[in-house]
Amino acid sequence: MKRSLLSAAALALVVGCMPPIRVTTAFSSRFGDNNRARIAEVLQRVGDRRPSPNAVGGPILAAVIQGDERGVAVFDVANRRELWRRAMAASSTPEILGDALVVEVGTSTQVLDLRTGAPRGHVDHPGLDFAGAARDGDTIVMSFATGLGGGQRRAGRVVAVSASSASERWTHEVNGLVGRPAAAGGLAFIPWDRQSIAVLDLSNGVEKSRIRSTDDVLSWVFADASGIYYGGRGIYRLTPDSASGTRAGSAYLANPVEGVPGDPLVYRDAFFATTGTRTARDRIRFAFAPAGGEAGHVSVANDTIYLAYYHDLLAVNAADGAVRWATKLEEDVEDLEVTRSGLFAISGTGKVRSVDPATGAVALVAELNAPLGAIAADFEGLQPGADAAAPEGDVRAQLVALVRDPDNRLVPFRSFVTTLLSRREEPEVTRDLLDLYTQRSIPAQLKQSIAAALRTRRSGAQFLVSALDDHYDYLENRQAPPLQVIAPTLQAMGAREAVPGLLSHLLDHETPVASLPDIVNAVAALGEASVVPTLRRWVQLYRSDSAFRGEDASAGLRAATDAIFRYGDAADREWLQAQQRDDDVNPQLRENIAGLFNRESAEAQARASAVTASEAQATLEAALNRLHEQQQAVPNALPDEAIDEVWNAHLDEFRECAQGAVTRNPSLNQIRVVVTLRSGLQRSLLDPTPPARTGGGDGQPSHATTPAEAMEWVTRQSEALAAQRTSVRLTTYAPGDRELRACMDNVVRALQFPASREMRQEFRRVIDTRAARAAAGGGENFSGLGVNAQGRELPWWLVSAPTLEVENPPAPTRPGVTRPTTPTTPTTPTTPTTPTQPGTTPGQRPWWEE
Amino acid sequence: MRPRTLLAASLALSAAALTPGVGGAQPRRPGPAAQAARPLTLREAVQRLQSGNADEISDAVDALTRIGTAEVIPPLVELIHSGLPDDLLERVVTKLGIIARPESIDELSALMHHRRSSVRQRTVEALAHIRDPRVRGLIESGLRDSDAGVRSESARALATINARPSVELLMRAFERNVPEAAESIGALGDAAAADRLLEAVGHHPLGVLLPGFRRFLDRRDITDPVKLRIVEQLVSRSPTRQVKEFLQEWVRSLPARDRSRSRARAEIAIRQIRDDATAPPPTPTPPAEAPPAQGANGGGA
Repeated sequence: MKRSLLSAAALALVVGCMPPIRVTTAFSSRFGDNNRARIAEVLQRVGDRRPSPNAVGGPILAAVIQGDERGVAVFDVANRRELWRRAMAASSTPEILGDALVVEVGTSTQVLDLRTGAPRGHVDHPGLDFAGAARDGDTIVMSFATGLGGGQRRAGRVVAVSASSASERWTHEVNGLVGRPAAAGGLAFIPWDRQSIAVLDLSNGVEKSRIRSTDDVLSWVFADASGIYYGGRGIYRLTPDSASGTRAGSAYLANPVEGVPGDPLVYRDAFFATTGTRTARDRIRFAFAPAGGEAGHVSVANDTIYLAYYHDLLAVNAADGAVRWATKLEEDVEDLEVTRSGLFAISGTGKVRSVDPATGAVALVAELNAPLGAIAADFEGLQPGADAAAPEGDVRAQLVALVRDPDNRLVPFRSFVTTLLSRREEPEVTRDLLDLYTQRSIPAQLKQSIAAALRTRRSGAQFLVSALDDHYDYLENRQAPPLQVIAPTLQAMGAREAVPGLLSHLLDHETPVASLPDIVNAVAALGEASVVPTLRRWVQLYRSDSAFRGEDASAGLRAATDAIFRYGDAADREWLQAQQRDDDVNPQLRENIAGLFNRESAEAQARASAVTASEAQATLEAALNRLHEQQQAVPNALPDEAIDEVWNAHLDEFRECAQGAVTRNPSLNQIRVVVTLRSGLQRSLLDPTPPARTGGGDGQPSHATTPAEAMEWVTRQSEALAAQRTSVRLTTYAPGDRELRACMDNVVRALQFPASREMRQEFRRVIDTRAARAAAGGGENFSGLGVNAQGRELPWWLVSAPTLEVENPPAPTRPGVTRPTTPTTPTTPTTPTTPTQPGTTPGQRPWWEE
Repeated sequence: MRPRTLLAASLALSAAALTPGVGGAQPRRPGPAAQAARPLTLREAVQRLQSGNADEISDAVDALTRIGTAEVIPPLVELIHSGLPDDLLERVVTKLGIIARPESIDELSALMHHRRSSVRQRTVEALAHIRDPRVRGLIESGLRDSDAGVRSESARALATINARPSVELLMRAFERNVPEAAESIGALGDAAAADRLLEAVGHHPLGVLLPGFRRFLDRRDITDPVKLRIVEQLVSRSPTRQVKEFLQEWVRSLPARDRSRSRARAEIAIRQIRDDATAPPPTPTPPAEAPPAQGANGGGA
């Protein structure tokens, strides 16, 4: 007892001396993820939350102030005034968390009072970058990591601190990257290694649940009044179905806008450490506000996702990506906030503009007149500005205006907008794209995008046809239309009405030589045979001209000869051949014409060969089928009828032998014959298919068996199989009369039976010599069953085997006991035997064995 | 059948049609001496076009040129359509200009769009020899060509054919950096055109403008007051040695009996302008931008 007390006291002492337990159970590789019950518990704790207003009580903006006096400031946006400013070398985007403001300063993250900027405490994190913070209740959870910007070392730390003092409550060192967290319902949601969201109890750091995606990247998480949202390129809403770990099984909304230059995620990347300054990442961003709505689904406010790209702003339908409006702001968008009252764009000069989600109308809300760096805003309750100006024109015109924007920083985005424009169905888009293409101020890269977009158009052909009316004119300073774009597009549109215009450009010397192949191809495809005479005259005129010498220069002429070859008649082909033979003709042209005819000839030969090969294959298959039938006809063992057919052909000879034996031994009742057959069938003759390869003997390489060789093989196999015979290997006679043996062997040994698969087979025959019935004489029609048509029994030598249906023939009636004293002509039928059937009852056995 | 043979067949048909009385019987070929002695007949020339031999074809073309009737045009057009090497084609085009028959205008019109600028240039030259109302429009189209040589030749050709209605277009061409247009304007323009050309002094090089003014001053249909204005404007706008030498040359060309006020003013100016007087560099007038040539052979401005 004493010892126990002592131990307890010692343990209490040790425990009392230890620091508080800081490391709790979380981020374990053994923790079960995607557990539906646990996720349901999390959702229950999160519940429906109301948006919690910040401590200032109105819309505020916190920002890093750039310039000589670097610091952090908080603005009251509604009243357009600065609440406070504090000099510090802030190195992250501030986080507005209730009554606190969190911002990184070097290797220390400061917790400041939101109302005054007074410091409350700090968390040091040498070697780690601040990834972000979130708050629920009086606990702030922060994520730090190294390797956010890449690098080999990847480590993270999650720290929970008191919101009032920044004193640490718990911490986790994580082997991997952790990102900007979210917090709600007393829980922290920590993005982990872009694959999981770990849900930790804020009070003690214990992991309560974990969501892991098996087919997506999870790069961000945030808590909203309507729930917890997470995702990568798309938006997930946390529901019990999140346990599926898949896109398809979860509440998920895909971002319909893809291909944006810079490849922004649909929400701020939680794994990207901010710098405190303005970055391109801030200017290229999506924004949306969750709309809650039906459980199990993701919906966004106004069904709209917004995209900011520097000073361009687009609103797209969240369901299908259709552009609702597009506008250009006066300044670059450094931050974009979506609230219940609208959309707000913040510039680097501190201008806050409201943008009508429905129309894109822009109004100035506030001018803060400060050089803003990284920005955080809480604009809930901020009202849109008055006198909003909507972008001019319809959506098509708005997109065209963005493409026309001369800002060359935006060339990639203008290309992207060109793609959006080209997807619209209005025919006028074709004209817009053509106009854009012909703008001299359009950069080459953008021109290529426009050309590519034009080629995808399938409506608005009339605008392209109309454009063909324009020709180069030096005096009028007019360029030729972009034929290398127009011609293929018209061809794809099937616009036959374009043929005259295209031909006029074909014959126009101002048409760039590089465009000629496109024009010729389009003219030929649209006009077919009707344009052949024109093409022929054109080729004829230039066939010896130096203007088309060279590989590139002659491409147009070559395309024309291709068209003449394809759509022309026999006379045109004859003309082509004449050109090919003429030494004065452009060598490239002659070569091309020769190639056309050669290719056609080769293709015809190939087709003919294919037909021949097909026929040969059919013949081979037929022969193979016959061989297979032949092989299947080879029995395992020879049936009785096959044996009888051979045996019965020699009955006369057997009779002579029997007569001789009876003569020598008049008391002889029967002669028993046992014959053992041996089949010489080669197994290879039963192969179903020809060998895959042939040859290979004498050190020569083998080759794939040709159809002809396969046919030869089939023929050889068939002939060899047909020649196969089963021969007599052993004979046994009873009685062992030597003369009888000699006589019988002379006949039996020479017998040749059909082939069989079994190597060895035995059959027996019994010749009964006791019957004394006289033969009825010859000339009768015998059925071969031992009884003639009149019912008379037949002499034995005229009787063959039992009927096939009788496996073990019933024993014939025993002849009478009276034995002739003199040899008589055996008259009882020879009774054949069948092989012994194992397992048969004695009563079923052949009579001679009983 | 070789194309040459096809061409030969068609040309033979043409020749047969052009030679009444010549039936299917092959005429006896004259001996070489006789051939050298007398020029080829139309039929013989057309037959030689079929020879496939470049020299014989050239001889035939020359023979047809000498014949110079309307009947020689179809065989020559056929020859062009048969697809000729560069030198032969240009030779035929030149010959069409020498023949100067309106019947060749359709073909020359098509050749105004030949992809080689040298062919277009020779076509303009050929057209300038033909008297036909269609010619002016065709030559005017040459002013719109991407090739500077074709534009220059067209500007000169308009003066050659005395295309006074083309002055406005020539003015436009001059403004678009077709320098040869200035001389043609001088040859064709009226007093107003002279005034417009004078406005270009200081904006265009004098070397470009002076040939135009010289043509104005040499013309009898331009009145002395107009010539006087030209001289005065030239002197006032550009009192340079270049203008002085220009005026000296013009005065020397005038007959001694000429007592015009323009001459008197020129002589005064010659005495007034110092030999070392230089002009400031010309200020280009907008729009001077030339569109880039797009054609395969376009040389631009």
